[in-house]
Amino acid sequence: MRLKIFCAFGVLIGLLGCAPAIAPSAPPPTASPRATIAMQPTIESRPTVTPTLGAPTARPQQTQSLPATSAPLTLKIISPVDESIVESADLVVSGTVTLNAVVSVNGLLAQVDPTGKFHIQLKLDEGPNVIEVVASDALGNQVDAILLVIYEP
Amino acid sequence: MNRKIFSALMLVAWLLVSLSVVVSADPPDPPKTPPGKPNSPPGLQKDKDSKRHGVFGTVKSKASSTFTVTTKQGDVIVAITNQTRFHIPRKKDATFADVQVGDRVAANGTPTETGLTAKKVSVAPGKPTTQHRVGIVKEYIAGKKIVIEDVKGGTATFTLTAQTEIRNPKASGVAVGDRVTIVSRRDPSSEEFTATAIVVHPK
Repeated sequence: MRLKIFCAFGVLIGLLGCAPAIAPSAPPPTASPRATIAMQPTIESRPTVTPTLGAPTARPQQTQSLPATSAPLTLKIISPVDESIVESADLVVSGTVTLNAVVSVNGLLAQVDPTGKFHIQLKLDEGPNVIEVVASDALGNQVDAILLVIYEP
Repeated sequence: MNRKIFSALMLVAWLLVSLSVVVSADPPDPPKTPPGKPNSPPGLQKDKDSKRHGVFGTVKSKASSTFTVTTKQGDVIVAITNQTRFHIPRKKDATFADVQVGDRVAANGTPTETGLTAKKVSVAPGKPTTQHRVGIVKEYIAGKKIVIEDVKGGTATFTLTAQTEIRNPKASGVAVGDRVTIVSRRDPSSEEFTATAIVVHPK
């Protein structure tokens, strides 16, 4: 009988000892102090429509007619995230654009595939870089997005 | 007697295991700032390793050797030194005087208690420095110039260089009468538009 009581007491003490070990995992995790300075989430480009040319009917005497307007010109940047810090000088700029649009990044032509996805690789300078993405359609309508990215090796 | 000793040993073992679990479950101490290293202000952005620092935002105010940037996390003071370099599109040899209140900027450098001592500051242009122009080729001299007439009837002339990329699906170059998109940038020194690329559209 004494032995049984002794063993039961031992088990009880053991369980009490385990209780505080389980307790710290119970409360929900609190926000890390780093969260206030963490890199922000993806920001979509802020295209501004800049119609540089008029309607195609303005010059009916053109020797070559301009194509009719199709879908409105849109530009969405997938990479890089605006206002981000990167550690590699090689940066791929990619996104999507209206079909048949011409896309340039810092004046260089990007490759646009038949689905409207485009990409181009840039070499960044050390420090902050301005990345200008410009897209235009056959009518001369133009949209753009200007990104800031810091490269620190 | 042996059973008593065995039970006592089991109890001790149980207590030791419990104690070790309690100790290992204690939350770690928060990281301490190394002596001499200031705490970073909230508006100072870091990369995921916290090794690289930068500021992105809008210039709120300027002083003689500092300017305040409003970021999404708060205001940050950026200090300027003789070594700070400035990059402003369309501006050759930009200086601190060319940075204006309201400009969207990015800066990198060394963190301070109030912000950053800048190594380089870049200003984002309000409008892109690159232009796309669509029109019909009226004159073309390879490697020198191209003249197009746009849909409004106006003409525009662009300087060509050896680096000007020509993209034509038929690989037949550029000819008078072609409909093209010209990608160009203005040279800040000459105010001329230099074509960086010509895209020939299918007829």
